[in-house]
Amino acid sequence: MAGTVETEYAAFLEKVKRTVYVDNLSPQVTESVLRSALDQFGTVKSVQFITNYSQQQNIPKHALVEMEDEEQVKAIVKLIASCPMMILGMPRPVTACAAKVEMFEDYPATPGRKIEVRWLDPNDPDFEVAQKWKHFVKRHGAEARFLQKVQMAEEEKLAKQQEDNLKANFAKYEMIEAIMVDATADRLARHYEMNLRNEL
Amino acid sequence: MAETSNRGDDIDFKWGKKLGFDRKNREVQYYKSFHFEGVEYSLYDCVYLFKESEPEPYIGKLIRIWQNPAKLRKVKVLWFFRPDEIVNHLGTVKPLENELFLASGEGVGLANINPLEAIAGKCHVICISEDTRNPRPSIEELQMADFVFSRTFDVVQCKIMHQIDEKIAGIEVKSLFNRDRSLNRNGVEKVVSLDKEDEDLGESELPSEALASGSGTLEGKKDGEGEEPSLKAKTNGHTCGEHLLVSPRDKTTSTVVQVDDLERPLKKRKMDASEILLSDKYKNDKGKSIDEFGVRRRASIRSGSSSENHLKSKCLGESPRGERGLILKPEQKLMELSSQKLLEVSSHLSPQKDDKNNHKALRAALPVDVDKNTWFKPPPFEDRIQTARKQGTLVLLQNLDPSYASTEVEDIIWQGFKEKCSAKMLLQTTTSSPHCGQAFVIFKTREAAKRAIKQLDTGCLVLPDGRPLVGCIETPCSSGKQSKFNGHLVISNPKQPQTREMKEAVSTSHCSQPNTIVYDMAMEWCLLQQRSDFVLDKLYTQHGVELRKLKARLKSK
Repeated sequence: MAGTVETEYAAFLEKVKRTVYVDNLSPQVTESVLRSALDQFGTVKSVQFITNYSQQQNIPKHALVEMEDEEQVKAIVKLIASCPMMILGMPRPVTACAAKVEMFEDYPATPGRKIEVRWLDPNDPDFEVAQKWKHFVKRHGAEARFLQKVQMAEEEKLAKQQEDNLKANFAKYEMIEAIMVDATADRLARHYEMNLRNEL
Repeated sequence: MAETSNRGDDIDFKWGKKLGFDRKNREVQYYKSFHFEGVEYSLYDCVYLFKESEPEPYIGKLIRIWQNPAKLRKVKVLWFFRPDEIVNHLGTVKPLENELFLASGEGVGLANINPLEAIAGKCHVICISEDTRNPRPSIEELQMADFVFSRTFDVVQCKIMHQIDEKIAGIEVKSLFNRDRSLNRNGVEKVVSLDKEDEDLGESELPSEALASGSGTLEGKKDGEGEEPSLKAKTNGHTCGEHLLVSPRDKTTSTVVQVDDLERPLKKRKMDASEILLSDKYKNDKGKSIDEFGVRRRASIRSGSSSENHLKSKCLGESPRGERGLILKPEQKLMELSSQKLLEVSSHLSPQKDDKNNHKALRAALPVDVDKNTWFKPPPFEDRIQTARKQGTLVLLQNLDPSYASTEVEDIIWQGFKEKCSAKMLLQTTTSSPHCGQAFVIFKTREAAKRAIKQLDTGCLVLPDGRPLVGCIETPCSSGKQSKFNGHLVISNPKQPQTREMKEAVSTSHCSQPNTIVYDMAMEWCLLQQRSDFVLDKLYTQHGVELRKLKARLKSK
């Protein structure tokens, strides 16, 4: 029986190796979108979105995409790192890295590991350290959450800034086009005796 | 040799063999070959094409050559891709040093019409495909070759295809493979001589009418498929192509059509017979039969002008079908065979399989005394978390080893609190801490959850490596707002309503090119991402250092 568990685990590890983790996906990305996006670089075997159980909002969607072999995973990671890849929206690119065991939903326990827990006696010399450790954990958690919040705010800021820029540029081009179309530019050029078109 | 027309006196140019006219526009004249700047080119040759501002010449295969009504010389070119042109789509495909990829699929980038003068020179491209339809190149040919190809690049899917389709850009794949002098031509001639055989057996047709009908059908098909010109080319090349092309002009189109209709069924019947004969012979003894036919054909040509006419009419009218039959027949048979087999097999298997499944289902349904928990499939964990959150039975367990599995967490809770629960490890993402694993635990009751948290708070439940567990209750937060993703922008143009194409364009996935605004914006995102990653990494390393220091103070390990 133990043998089958181990082989199953080995098979799972193999699957992990040929899986790529894709982050910063828009919530609108569906399996078929992701599949067609990565099918360009290999053969997608399966797509699994990671469920977000926490209550944090505005977290980008992330997914595990199983490819045909490890080579394809490496190729995709390398490609997405080297040039920005957009899936279902611009301009924020997706990120990708090789998947890890802990990213899989219901990943199997490492075979043969036995975890034994015990309650510490309050008189145990380690008790104090453990208490402190707990304190650390809470603080670290808070720190990480805060940092992520700040980063989220930065992302929002960048998005806003880009949107404003884009709108301004768009308005500018609209304006230029408008004066070209209604011959204002030509009139002005004549008035100032300038040549609008390059004579070759 | 065919009539030559040398219009541009400034360049060294001469038309070669003619192929016929476009059916719709008689002024469009197709050619099979031409002489240009000291080089003889013919249909399906591979050529270099220079484009200004491009350092490397393009490479393509000539699939149609013609002169348009404005007397401009045009060529249609089926492209080859260099590996570096499609480097983003290669994936794990490792191209050979001098490998090219033939374009395939129906879409932009497959083939283009270019002025003939754009041709810069001849290029020797050899097909090294293992395909059975491909005549194997000789060693000398391989040494001569500038490039080789065996795979195609689908311009629609942007994917390397390892199989070559039956037709690319309407060109029969046979013409795209290596030219095998002995085999390729005789493939057509074989049909011809076979027909001849049939003919000799007693059927007599009106040669001129048959001829008209033959070329009539051909020209009709030509612009649609583009396969026929090649055929005609081959046959013309060997028989006297010139007056053959002239003679249809004498006939009015109406008679052509009429005769065509009359002749069709008869020919078809005959062809069917010869097809079978052909494919059998083809399979049995390729080389021998070909040689035989080749010789016989030549003999029959010499035998007289009437029979020659006859021959031509036959080969024109029917060789397309004959050739196709020749190529397809063995495969078709194979397919038929295999599908039959499949049917048989499946009909044999499926009842058994069904039975087995039924048994299994029954067997699974039988036991009644199973645990209730495994009997019903639990609702998705997401929903359970929601309800548990509301009921206050959800506990967030922290400081687990990140490598623990959900089942192991359940075991830990059982050991620590003697409580049954269901647990779920929070999946690691790129932003989660490497030091501290988290899990959601759903207890059976609210009291159990509260008790557990209190116990964890006052006491210390330590894991084998000394780390104490931390628990806290997860309260429902009232944020019901739609999750929004930052960083995807759309220009809304009120003047220009979004068309279907535009909407579809948004939904495609692509790698951004470095000369666009989008690329610049993407770079800003990449920068932010890098910075975030770096900061987070720093934070976690710092956490790691703190924890290590703390761990060092532990007395018992």
